[in-house]
Amino acid sequence: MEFDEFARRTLPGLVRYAVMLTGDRELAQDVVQEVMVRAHSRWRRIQRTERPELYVKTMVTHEYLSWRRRWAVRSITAVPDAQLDRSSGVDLAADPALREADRTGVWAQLGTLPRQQRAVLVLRYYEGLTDAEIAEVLDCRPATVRSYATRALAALRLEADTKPNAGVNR
Amino acid sequence: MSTELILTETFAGHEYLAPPPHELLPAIENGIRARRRRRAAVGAFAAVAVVAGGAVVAGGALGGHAASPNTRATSAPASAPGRTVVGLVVTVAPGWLPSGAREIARGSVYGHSNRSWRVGQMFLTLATGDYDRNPPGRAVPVTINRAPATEWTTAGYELRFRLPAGGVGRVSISGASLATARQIGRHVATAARDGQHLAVTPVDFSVGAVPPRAVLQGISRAEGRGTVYTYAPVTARGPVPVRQQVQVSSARSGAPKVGETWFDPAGHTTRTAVAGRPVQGHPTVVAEWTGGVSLWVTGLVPGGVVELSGGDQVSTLTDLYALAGSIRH
Repeated sequence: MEFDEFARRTLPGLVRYAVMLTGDRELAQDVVQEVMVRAHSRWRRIQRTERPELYVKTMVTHEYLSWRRRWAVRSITAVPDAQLDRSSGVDLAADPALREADRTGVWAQLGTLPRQQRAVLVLRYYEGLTDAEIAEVLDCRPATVRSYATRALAALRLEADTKPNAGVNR
Repeated sequence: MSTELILTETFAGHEYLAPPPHELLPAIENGIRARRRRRAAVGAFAAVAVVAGGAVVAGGALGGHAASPNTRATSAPASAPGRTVVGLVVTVAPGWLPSGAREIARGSVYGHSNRSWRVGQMFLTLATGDYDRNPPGRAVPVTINRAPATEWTTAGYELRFRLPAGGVGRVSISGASLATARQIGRHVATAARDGQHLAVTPVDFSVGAVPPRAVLQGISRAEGRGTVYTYAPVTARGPVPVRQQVQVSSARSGAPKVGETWFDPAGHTTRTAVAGRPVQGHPTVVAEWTGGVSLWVTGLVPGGVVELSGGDQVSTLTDLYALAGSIRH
């Protein structure tokens, strides 16, 4: 498969995936753009892999993680809006009915998660990957994936009631 | 409701944030070309040839773009109506931003880049080029990355500094105390990097044609304010007089009513808006001004008006109609 064809076929999914990771249209665009340019230069190697799409998705994940890391390390402590929401007494998680009614609140809370934890939730609940596959993408052990997921769900005050492999195939 | 369902619905409910792939493909193509050029430039010969020729080879999926000497690693839209517009690129990127910064505007005009973010009440802009006059007040010399830089703090905060590749970078901040602005401004300047190729994709519409005597020199987009396309002669190296420029914009809301009059100070005369011929089935209003003509099309973009203003040295009303006819949203 030529790179052009690969790009056209996979770009919609990659961009959506990057939006879920970054939570931001512009940043998702930047991340995918950066990755696709790099993927083009490595295309011969990538097309020989078993699942080129997963390989590039892994590149997107790592770009997101490294980008976030670069920013987080040098970030001064301004208070994100989501944290202000929490401290203002409006606790989206306190009332399950409110939480269920307000997906925007969950989205905002996702933005407060550490990057690996958010990536695990996106890979598990959006991409429908198993914990073993997530571990492969994140280059860590499946136990670490489960640990990230548990902590992320706890932070969101959602119960870890979902089976690790129960993701939806998309 | 299960955790899986809550999260699955939350993610699915935000898929709308993803930009359509056709907006991204041109930027990727530009990035690939830029990378190739960087590699070719190892021997210096290839890069020099491209710059000297004043053209950038554009091809690939969308192909056939006009080229401008200012676009560098960018391309302009093709002259064929209905073709997707290709965004110019922003060459500057922040290596650091305050937490919670949200990008609200991005533009590339006449080879100068600008990006703006909102952080709470604060508004921060990172731009390239020093084509503007100096800000008012006393200029204070400072040092950024061991290079001389200049700070102004009389009317808001602005810092002009040397980017790693040698160009001029500018950080301006409003809506923050001077101490905060200074601290953040210096951080941003210190970490800023150029040589990037970030796309400027339109918010709400694209233009599939170019005026016959101009090329696409810029695209700007801002949250809640739409998109502005700027066209000028291929020789323009910076902002040009309005008579040499065409702008297509959804940024200004509202069209004049037919029969509405106003005083045109440049021509010392009264002007009247008249009805134009429909464009793509939408009503239009036309008004002349000294040095050009404007065409407003209502309903071409959802809930808004597209304004096309053309200077008489580069366009005619017929050209504006052709541009309007090529607009897609």
